[in-house]
Amino acid sequence: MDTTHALTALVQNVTAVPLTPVILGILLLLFAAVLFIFIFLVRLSARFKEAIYPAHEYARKEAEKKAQQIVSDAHEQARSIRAQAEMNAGELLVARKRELNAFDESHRKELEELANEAKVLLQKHKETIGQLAEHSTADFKQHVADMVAVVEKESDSLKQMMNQEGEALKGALSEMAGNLKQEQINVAKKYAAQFEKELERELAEVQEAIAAYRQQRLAIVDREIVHLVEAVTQTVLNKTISIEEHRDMVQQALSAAKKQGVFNV
Amino acid sequence: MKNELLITLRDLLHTRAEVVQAIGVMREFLTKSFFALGEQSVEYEKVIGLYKKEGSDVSDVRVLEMLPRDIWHQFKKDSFNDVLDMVLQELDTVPTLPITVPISFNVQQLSALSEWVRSEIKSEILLDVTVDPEIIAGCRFVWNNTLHDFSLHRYIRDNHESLQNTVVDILNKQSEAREKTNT
Repeated sequence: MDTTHALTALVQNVTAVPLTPVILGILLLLFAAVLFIFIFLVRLSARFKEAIYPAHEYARKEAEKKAQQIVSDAHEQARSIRAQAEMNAGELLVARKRELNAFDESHRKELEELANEAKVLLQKHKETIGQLAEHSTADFKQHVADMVAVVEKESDSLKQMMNQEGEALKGALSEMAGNLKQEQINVAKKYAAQFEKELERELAEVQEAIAAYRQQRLAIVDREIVHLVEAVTQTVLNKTISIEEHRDMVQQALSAAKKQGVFNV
Repeated sequence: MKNELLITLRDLLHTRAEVVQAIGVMREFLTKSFFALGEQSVEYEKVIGLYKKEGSDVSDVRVLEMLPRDIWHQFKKDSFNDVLDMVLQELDTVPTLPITVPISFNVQQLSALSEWVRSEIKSEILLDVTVDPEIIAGCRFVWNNTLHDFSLHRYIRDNHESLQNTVVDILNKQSEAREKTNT
């Protein structure tokens, strides 16, 4: 009976609790679980990396050791090869030196023989050249004398020819000057005649222009003469006639009109 | 009254311009008398004294003094403008001699000319004078709608051929004389 009451009371309490706080509590629990799983996975990954790293490092160190061994062997071989090469070179140098000494000795003897032969030949040639030089000098002097004679002869001939050409040129120039002078005189006469003719024509034209201008001016005078007379008369009358005389002239004009019978109409 | 006024003006004055001027001066005189001074009738001495005091135009005063004194009593305050307008209209019926002269004549010369015209040609006539210096001397007038030119200008125009010949002869002689001198 008590248990029943207790369950009934629990059910009543549960049903009495609002729904929203329960859901929030469940969500909080789920969030905590997810966070725990995430942290676990991160740590697991770190351990896995630590387990792999030493094998890789070991392989790298082995490779470095092998490389150092190879380099050391190579240096050793190089030293051995260089020592062998130096030994070979020394042997070759000694052999070459011996050959050169033998060659020098044989050629020195040959050269001494050649020098003796050359001395003998040179003495012979010296004597021959002396004789030839004496003959050549005489020939050269004779040749020069001949050349001088030829040049003098040619010079005289050229001088004579130049004199003749100069005289001919002088004559030709004199003739040309005479012709040119005559031609100038002819041209001057021709142009003088043309100039005179042109001058007469210009003079006639100027005289015609003057006559036309005079006629034009006279025509203007003809046209303007009435105005001129009027202006002069007006000026003169205004200066010489008094106002009374003007009035008299008006009266005379009216009187003349009356005599003509103008006012009878 | 209007005829009498027009006849008076015509007899006293000589030209149409003088009559028109006189009518204008009278209108001004009457306006001043009736409206400026507030008089019911024209007090001539009072108004003319005012004119002289104000230093008005001498020619206006001369016109006023020339008019007979009894003429002013005929005008009324409410009718003088109509009377003067009527006189201006009837002025066209007065015989007029439109005449053009070479110079401007003074009052004395116009008076003498007018008297001569009224005695020799027609009495009761007004001159309508215009000045034109181009006519030189003499006059030009209209009579019965016909222009009559008795001016020196007309004379020169009528005789221009003989004038031209004379002047050309003179110029030719001068030119020949100049050429001879140059040669």
